[in-house]
Amino acid sequence: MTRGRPEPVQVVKQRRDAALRALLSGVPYIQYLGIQFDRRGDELTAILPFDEKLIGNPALPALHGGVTAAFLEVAAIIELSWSLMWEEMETGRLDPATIRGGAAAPAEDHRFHRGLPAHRTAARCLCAGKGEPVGAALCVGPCGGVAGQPRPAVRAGDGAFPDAARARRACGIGGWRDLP
Amino acid sequence: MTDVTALARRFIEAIPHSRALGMHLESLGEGRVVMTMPYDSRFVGDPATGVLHGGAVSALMDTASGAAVMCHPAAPVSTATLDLRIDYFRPATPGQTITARAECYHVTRSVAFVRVTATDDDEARPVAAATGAFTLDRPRAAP
Repeated sequence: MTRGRPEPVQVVKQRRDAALRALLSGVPYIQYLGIQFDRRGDELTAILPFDEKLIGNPALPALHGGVTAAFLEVAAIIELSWSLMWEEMETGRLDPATIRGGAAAPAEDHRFHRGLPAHRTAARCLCAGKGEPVGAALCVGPCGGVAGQPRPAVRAGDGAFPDAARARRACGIGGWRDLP
Repeated sequence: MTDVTALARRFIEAIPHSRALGMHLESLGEGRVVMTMPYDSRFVGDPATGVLHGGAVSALMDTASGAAVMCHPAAPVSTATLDLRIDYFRPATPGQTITARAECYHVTRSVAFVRVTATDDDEARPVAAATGAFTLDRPRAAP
């Protein structure tokens, strides 16, 4: 049995990043909310940096329930699209130009466990497999900042999620490694 | 009752995210609210068709539901979403304003129950519907 030469890691990384960019770009609502995705291997972490416009209850302050819903929905749809295109992408058959920005109209079920501190949130989505429902769980870090001061969600030495790795661990995503 | 609706209106109009999404309170009273959100290209979820993102519709329904709780005769001082279960029926027609009609149909000591539907110009065919549970913070009794 003969096998072709393995591709350079850099080529694999570039292809994955281009595919993810294609999936995210062109969806105005994702840009509007400021949702970012951090990729490690095939694993995605959705991150929602603080922004004043996302506040629902200024007295607490807490994120708007609709923002939480939208954030989970975006995370779920992107994870679903990502997992469905993974195989084709890995073989190099997928042309990033043909990827459509994540769009779908899922039947959803949101459960709010408590009012979310408006500083830092990270979503974890589990895709059980093709054809099966996507379950979305939400993880919240303790308040690490002051309301009204926009700041990036992932910044070294900063509050609950100083980096994406900690955000992952907080979400219960174990065995984090520096994958391509 | 006027006090309740005035308080509810203030509560709703102070929500930064609702203002950011351009939500407008059309009418309110006795646990019922009608809110609208004009079409905005920034809130598009599918650039190929220009259809609004489901999350924006969720946000409108969530806000309208919370508003319905706030103007319930129980006169809560505050509320927050506990649970919101949404069914999407079809994509909202691009370019059309979304209208959410919410009704707070039952309250207990600390929880309010709400149903809400979202429609575009074709009111016979809803875009989405949801049922939710919200916290109900009652005013403290005078000492």
